[in-house]
Amino acid sequence: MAISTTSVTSSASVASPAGGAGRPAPLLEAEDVRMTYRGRRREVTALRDLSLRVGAGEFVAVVGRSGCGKSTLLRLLSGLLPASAGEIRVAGQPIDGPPRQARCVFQDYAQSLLPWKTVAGNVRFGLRHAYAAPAGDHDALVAHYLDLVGLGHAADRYPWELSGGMQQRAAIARALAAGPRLLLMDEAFSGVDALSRATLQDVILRAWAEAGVTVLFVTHDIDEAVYLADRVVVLHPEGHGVLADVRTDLPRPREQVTTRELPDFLRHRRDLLNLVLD
Amino acid sequence: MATDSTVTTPRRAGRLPRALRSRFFGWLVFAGVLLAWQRYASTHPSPRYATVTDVAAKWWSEILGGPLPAAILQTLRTMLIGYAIAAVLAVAVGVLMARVRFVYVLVEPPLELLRPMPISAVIPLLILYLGIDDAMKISVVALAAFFHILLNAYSGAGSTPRTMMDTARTFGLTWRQTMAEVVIPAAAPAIFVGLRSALAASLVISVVVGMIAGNDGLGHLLMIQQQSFLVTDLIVGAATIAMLGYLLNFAFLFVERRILHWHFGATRAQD
Repeated sequence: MAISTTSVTSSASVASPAGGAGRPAPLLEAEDVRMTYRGRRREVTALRDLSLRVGAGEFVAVVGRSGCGKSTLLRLLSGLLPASAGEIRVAGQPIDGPPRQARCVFQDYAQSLLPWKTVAGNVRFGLRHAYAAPAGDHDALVAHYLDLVGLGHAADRYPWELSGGMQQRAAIARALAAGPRLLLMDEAFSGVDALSRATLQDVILRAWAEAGVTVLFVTHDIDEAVYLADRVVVLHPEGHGVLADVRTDLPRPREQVTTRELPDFLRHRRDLLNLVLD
Repeated sequence: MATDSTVTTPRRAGRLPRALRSRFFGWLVFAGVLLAWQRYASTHPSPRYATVTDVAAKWWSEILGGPLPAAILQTLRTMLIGYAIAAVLAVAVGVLMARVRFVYVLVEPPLELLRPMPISAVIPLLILYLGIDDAMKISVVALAAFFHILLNAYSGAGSTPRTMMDTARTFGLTWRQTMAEVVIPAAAPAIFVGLRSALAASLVISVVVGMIAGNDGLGHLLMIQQQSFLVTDLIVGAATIAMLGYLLNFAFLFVERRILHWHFGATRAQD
């Protein structure tokens, strides 16, 4: 497993929020965040007392039952929804609207990609609206990001000509092309079939390792969370913040068959399922 | 379950034979009508009728040296200028109404009051203010085209998918970038629906306004010919306007297919 150790150190060297004194401020912090939706007659609090820290370079999954406020949390962290109380900071700065350093990958890829642009055109959109566009020729960069997600052959096709899994890969390439420090993914793989889903999981793992981006991945799928992340955050079923924060730290690189057979994988999966189903 | 392995598509009841389902059949019927007309008009000579061949010959000589080409150009000019002004204004106002609350509350009530008013009702007033020349005619055409485009631009720009707007926001697009790169392209299919019905309305109004103002254009030409009982010329004029409408629509569809190819592709892909 020589390869796996090197890849872990290289991708997580920036990270280790577990490090002792003098560690840098986490990339993403949420402090006592509450979200209350005001209806005509009554108020519904979808999320309360939520605090969370994500260090640079981490891959964190957020799981929980439906109704636990997962999607609300992601909309808050992406700045699309202002929190009713509490504070969200990205790189130490309180956010007021979508933070420049973050990009989102939404579940509904068909409505997120621009259908009048080709796949390459959509990635170019990411480059034009970048946080930190990597230097270089745009055409070469477009090709680079398309290759990263395995869409090199589909550059000139339109999103609606592609399968759901390929469309979501295009959306990932577009998000990465913007050079974000933080990638927020909301049930991003829920809309595709099981095999495409496995491909997407490996695409995002490779992109995470290569682009050195921090990923916060919201999912309702415990297996997916354990497979992808180093840390799994379980939300309280009724939106009362974080129920558990589990470091899984399975060896990398992950592999669809062997990783899922590891005793540690099965143990974490069982523990997390028990937590969520309780 | 006892299912048969072969599945046959049931023959749809009352399905037309192949020959009758082709568009060619419609043209054949049209040719038949022309033939019957020709026969009737040539066997019943009267100043009230004109034969098809007379009309065709007249049309040809008019095109070569009559007042028709000048009238066509005049009408087309009025129409296209008015249409272009309406298109720019209506798309701008429609998008602003859909996306800026203040513009909506400001503009919606008066527009809602003006919209049902027949355009012909304001022509006399506009003649009073603007005279009978280009300014008035172009204004009338623009006014007629405006609402067709406005309503569609408004509803198109108001229904950008939420995820698409979220995408624009998270990619840090400014308001103007969001309009230019997301909202307007996404509304383009709706805008084109409006542009197409506005095109037909513009042609009608540009002819009618020529009749009322009575100085130039196809409408004016038709009125003169009617007063002189020039039946052949009147049919020539009417047929010319029909052909203009057909050609304009054809050109429109050509442009639309170029610009909205992604929309038609995406719609087909969903089926």
